[in-house]
Amino acid sequence: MLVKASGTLLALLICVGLYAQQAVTGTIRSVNGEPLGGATVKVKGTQKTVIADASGAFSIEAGIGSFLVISYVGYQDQEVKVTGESLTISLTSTASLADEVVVIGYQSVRKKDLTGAVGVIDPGTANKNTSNSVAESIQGLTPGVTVRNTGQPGGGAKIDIRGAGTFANNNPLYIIDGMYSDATPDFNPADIETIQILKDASAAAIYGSRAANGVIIITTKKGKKGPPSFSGSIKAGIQGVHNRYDMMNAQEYRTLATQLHEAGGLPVPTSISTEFDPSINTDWQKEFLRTGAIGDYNLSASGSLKKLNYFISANHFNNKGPVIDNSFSRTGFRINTNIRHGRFNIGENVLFSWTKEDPIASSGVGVNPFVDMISMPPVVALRGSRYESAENPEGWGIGLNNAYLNTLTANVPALQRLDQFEQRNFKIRGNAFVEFTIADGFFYKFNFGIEKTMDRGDGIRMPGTVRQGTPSPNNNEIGRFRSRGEFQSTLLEHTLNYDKVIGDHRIGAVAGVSMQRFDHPVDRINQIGSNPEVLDRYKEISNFIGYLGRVNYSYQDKYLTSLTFRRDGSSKFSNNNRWGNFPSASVAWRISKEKFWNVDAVNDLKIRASYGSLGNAEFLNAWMYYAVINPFPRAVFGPNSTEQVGAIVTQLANTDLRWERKNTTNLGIEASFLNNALSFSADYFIAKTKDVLVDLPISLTTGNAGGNPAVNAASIQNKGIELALTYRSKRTANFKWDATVNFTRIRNKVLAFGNESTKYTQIGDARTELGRSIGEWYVLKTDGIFQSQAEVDAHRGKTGELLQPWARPGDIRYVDVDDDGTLDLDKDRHYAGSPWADWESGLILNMQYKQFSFSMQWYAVVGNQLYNRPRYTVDRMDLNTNFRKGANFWTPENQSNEWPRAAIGAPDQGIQYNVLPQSDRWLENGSYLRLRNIEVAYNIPQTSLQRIGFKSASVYLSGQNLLTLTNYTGLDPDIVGVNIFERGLDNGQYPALRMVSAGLRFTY
Amino acid sequence: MKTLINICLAGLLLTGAGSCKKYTDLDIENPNRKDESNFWKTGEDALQGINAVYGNFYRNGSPGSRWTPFYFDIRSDDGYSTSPWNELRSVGALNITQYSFEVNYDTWWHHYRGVYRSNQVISNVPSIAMDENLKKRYVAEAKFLRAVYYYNLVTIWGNIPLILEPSLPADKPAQSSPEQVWTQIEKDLAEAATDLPATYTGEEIGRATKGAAYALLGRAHLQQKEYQQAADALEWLISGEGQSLYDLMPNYADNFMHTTENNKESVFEIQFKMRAENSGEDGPTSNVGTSRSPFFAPPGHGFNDANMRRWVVAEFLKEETAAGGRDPRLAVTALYDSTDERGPDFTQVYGGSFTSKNYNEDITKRVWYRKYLNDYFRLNEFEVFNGPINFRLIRFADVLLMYAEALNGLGQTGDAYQYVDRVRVRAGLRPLSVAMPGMTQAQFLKQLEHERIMELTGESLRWNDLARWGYFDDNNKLAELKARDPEFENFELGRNKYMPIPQTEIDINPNLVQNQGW
Repeated sequence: MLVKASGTLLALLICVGLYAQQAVTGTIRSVNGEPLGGATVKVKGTQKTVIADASGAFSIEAGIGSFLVISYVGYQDQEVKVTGESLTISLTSTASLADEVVVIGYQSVRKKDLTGAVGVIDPGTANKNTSNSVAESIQGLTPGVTVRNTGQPGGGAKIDIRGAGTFANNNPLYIIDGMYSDATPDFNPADIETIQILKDASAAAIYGSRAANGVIIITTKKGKKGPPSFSGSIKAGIQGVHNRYDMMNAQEYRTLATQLHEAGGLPVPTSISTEFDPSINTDWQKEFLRTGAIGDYNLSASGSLKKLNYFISANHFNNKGPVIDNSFSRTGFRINTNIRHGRFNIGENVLFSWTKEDPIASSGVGVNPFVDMISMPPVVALRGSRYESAENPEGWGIGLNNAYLNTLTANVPALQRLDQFEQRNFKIRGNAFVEFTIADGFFYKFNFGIEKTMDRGDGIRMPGTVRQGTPSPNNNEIGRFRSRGEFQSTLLEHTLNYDKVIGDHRIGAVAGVSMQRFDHPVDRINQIGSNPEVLDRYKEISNFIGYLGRVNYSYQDKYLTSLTFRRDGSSKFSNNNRWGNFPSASVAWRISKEKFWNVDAVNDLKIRASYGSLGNAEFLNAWMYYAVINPFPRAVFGPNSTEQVGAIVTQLANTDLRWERKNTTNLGIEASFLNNALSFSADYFIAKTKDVLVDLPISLTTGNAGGNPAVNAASIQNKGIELALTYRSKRTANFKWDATVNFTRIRNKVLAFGNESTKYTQIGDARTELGRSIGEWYVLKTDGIFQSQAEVDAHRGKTGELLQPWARPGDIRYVDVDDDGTLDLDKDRHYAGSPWADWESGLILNMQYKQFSFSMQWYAVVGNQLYNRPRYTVDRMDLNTNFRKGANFWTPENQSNEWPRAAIGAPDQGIQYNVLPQSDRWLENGSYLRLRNIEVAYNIPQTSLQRIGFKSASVYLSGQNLLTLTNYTGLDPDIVGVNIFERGLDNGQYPALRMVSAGLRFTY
Repeated sequence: MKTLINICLAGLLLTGAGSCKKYTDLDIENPNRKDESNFWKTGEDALQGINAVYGNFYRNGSPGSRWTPFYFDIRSDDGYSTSPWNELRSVGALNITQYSFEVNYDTWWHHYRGVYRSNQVISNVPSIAMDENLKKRYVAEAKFLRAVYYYNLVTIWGNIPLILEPSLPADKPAQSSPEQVWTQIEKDLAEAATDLPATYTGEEIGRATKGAAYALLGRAHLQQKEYQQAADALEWLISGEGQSLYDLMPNYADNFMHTTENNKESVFEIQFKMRAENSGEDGPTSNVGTSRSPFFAPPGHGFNDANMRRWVVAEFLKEETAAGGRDPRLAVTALYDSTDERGPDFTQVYGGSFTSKNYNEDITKRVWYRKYLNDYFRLNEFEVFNGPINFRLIRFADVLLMYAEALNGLGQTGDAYQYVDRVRVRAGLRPLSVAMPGMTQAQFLKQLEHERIMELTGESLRWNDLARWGYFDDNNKLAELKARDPEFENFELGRNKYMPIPQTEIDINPNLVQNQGW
């Protein structure tokens, strides 16, 4: 839209005034220094108006002492007193301004005309976070959007728009410059001009079956008319895991481990008795973690050459991860151009990016890096000659399976060194379009989008064992792995748009067809030692066709409506279930425009309602609707052990897979008060998702192997409330501030399972049951610790039988939840908490004082229960692991209500019950309040900049995740979960990182 | 569709890219894999299908591989686990609380995978137009293999779903009674015995034979104490048409090495091969060896997860050979400080003397199961996860002892002596008819218990022997086990005879009922 504005509006000077006054000149720029060609300059109290030229310059006749009112779409109005000198005016962007235009897919509408739920994110705020991905950068910035971070370099964040609408892939659709895509870490957040989030069905319906999880529409920056303007930024910082488990040192471990071995009747390992070596005191967290660093460099140029507008950017992002041998880097170039000639507008946006990732190695059997780094005993040396063997030539410290030392914990620093893998991707992503104006307000557009990736993965696994009981892989030879993939997605779209204002009637319409093809061949090549290479070639292909149409209509800006229809077909379904129709409708009423409305304090009041149906098949890969023959089984026969080829179905399939369908009702209200200083919006929604597609676990008796088959498993409902309140202070000469608070509360519920006989599904310790939330914790209920035999004897069920006849003093007391008189590991489980937050909230605060600006983002999650698996691993104490400082176990002399009886080896049933994983002992409140970002910036005064030719420059200092208030004892409460059914499981997740960075932004 | 193609063409003209149908076709052929619409069409497909059933033997939880010995040997009174992995230990200690832990889960799962694959062959091959003899053979092989899986399932878990058709994803079968499962096992084996060939040649050696089907049928009947049917089935190998095919190997140790596989004592072997492999299942380089041995080997060469009770050694030392020496089977069965009777300085542990291992006092007292260890060629090395030694699921010595037990059960104790004698004489012992003539039926059975320990310890038969002999149903007999293996203090009558069904299965399938007491 800005392109249009600068492209079509000429530098006109219209003088309507009658008084001969002096010419006042000046330039208008955004606070970022971009010239605002097309901005309107009006002499206050008159009709005298001029429009700034492409470089933002203007000249107007005005008397000294009079005021000029400067306005521009998307920016706050500003009044300036005429002093007679040349004026330099910088306008501040605003998200609340009523004339702001938002892109809603194939069309743009004025924000005030929206009838659906759309979130608009200020990329400036988002970019204050140093992030791997767009998703990560927008955490807490808009209601209804839940972002959970993995922290991992090159790792994407998980994003839920309005809760978990589906079971499996809950990622929203990304539309980047009109291309269906995703904002993977190869995408540079600095290139973003706008981000809109389409949350409800009516807003997203134009994307039909792709949009059930919401849509994030990103437009990248476009060239501005005028001479070249350069802008750039440099950022450098350090990052790290902000928290550590406080684990025992070698002496402390020695004392407790000795007692635990003795309690289990096992010989005390000589590593902590006769052969104890005080010089070994390994801090495994220190060996595994390090201080990471980031560097982020951006340079861009924008301008025009005759009719050609261009935006060019280059970016390099480098992240040395906070774990040894773990890094990510990205280099990208973007060229966006467009040219207008007569009835044609032709343009392209293209990104070339190179990424390189060295991930954390966790391929070893039984290896979980963030658990192993705390559970490895400190008496194990990182390396030593004692550990050397044919299987472990470099002598990495591990359990030795002998009298010296036994532990099943992995040496993860060793694995990081032995297992080297590097993923390099080269990607071209972009689109080209031709717009042809047929008549005023009526144009045709052809859009061609392409995303092509060349992926190279190269791995080498050196011989060496990193865990007792797990041999050096590949028969102790060097294992090599290569993958060569090529992903191509091609989009062809034709649309016709019609926009017209006829008197009080405003009409906007679009109709079109969209076709997309995905081609993804991958070769995986394995080689063990000098054996021949083994190639596994696979090619995934799918096609997608959609017909789309939408009409927006408003009368006097008072009554607004929007009707959308989309029909989609996908090759991922069988012939019978291929097509789906996805309609939606929405209405809005701007009450404040009614004549009877005369409440002065309320500037704007609008209510909205929408209903729509969206589809989803993102979970599916090609050909999942039928079972294939696995050609790899082999059978050995004969005196020479000849391998004969086998082939059979190993993975079952559901043949009647059909579209997942989400029906959403949305009610919203928007209001602004006090001359638009205060704005408020609220939305209430009910979303029912039918036939949710997921790979629900099936009975093992089916004999299925190689992954659970996809199935239309269930129907779920999400209900939610989203609130947002923004206040923007009046600008005084030196000071202004604004603040936004948002609030989200979402409840989900399972309405039905696809199979009538299914009442619930259980994965791990979380159960998803009809009528309840997804993945609630379903575990045994503990009730303290027996302090005496009398207490054991008193713990009886209703029949009078002992409930835990095997228990001894010091054992955990379990509750006979179903009160049937016996303790049953199955039937005495109960619902012990939900992984879903009661509510989430974000607070954004911006202040500007003279040349200084200050901003903060806070984020709160309240009321969810997390399962702390790392703590389970070290607190169970029946295995030889390290222990948390202060850990203890119950003895008659050392009675405790926190630590039960324990022993390594678990010699009796009582101890077996004390270490049960399916117990509420491992659940913790996951609530937290976090200072997500804090930034202080100094804008260097223009007077000092002009001498060196800079238009603007600022330096800043920024801190991320500096403060987290929580009772959760794990590394970080921002948990992604293992899958949606175990959403609250901290399985040793890569924690969100703390980062401090400093940087410089400038325009030239 | 035509308009669509026109629209598409307009787009392609503008971009100059590819053909149009490419973008508009929603019927895309899968270039990677066949499916059931173009498989099960030829004899070659049928052969690949049955081969894939055998291919399921290479999973950890499949019969004769990594985990089943923990159920049949370690859980019984001659074994115990010292694994640092508490859950694995609890299988042997009879106090399992994690019903879904890997071992119980995989064993259940991998057995049902074998059932599913067998069912596919049995259901799909009959309608293929192909060589009728081969067709019959393939189906008979599948029936034999299905019976192998169900035999383990019904003896480990007792109450299990009996599935005879290819599975569908939503299947949630209820359990059948053990009797129904046994009936099906017998039916499958009887049909297999009819259609299977007595022998194979060349590259086909190792497939299920008529003798294998009869032997397993005999084992199934004997386990139910159906002595007449057991004797009838076993007879085929001993005195029937198959008698010329089977005999004992002169050297007892030949039954547990990869260099003497598929010999005349073999009735059915699970065929393993050692070659480079990647972990992963049914992939291009998946394992075709067995990972059993690391779990059974002593420290330094394996994980020492499994140990033999020392009373077994004492049992061996009760009777000398006819020549006045030690029973040669002891050294093949047990690895301990005196596997060589001259003591630890001479006892070889993977190429080094027992003494040179410097084991501490605790470990010095241990005994390890030696059968199927690769200790005769992994000299001074760690064990392998892709071991080559075929697992002898049924060997002729067992057939002879089973036959003797059946005859004794029928009251033909006198006739039964000769078959025990064959087994004893091979080991150099005096014939039983000489050493202990004129035993009563009960005495003979008691002696058979001893003979089976001597001959078969460590071959995953002990648990079912104890079950068959009533040790799990009677407190007096249970007391004998407790005396030999203190872990049986955890054994509860009515509970521990069967393992708990994995809790995940109960959670997914509401038609399943957990076994009694768990």
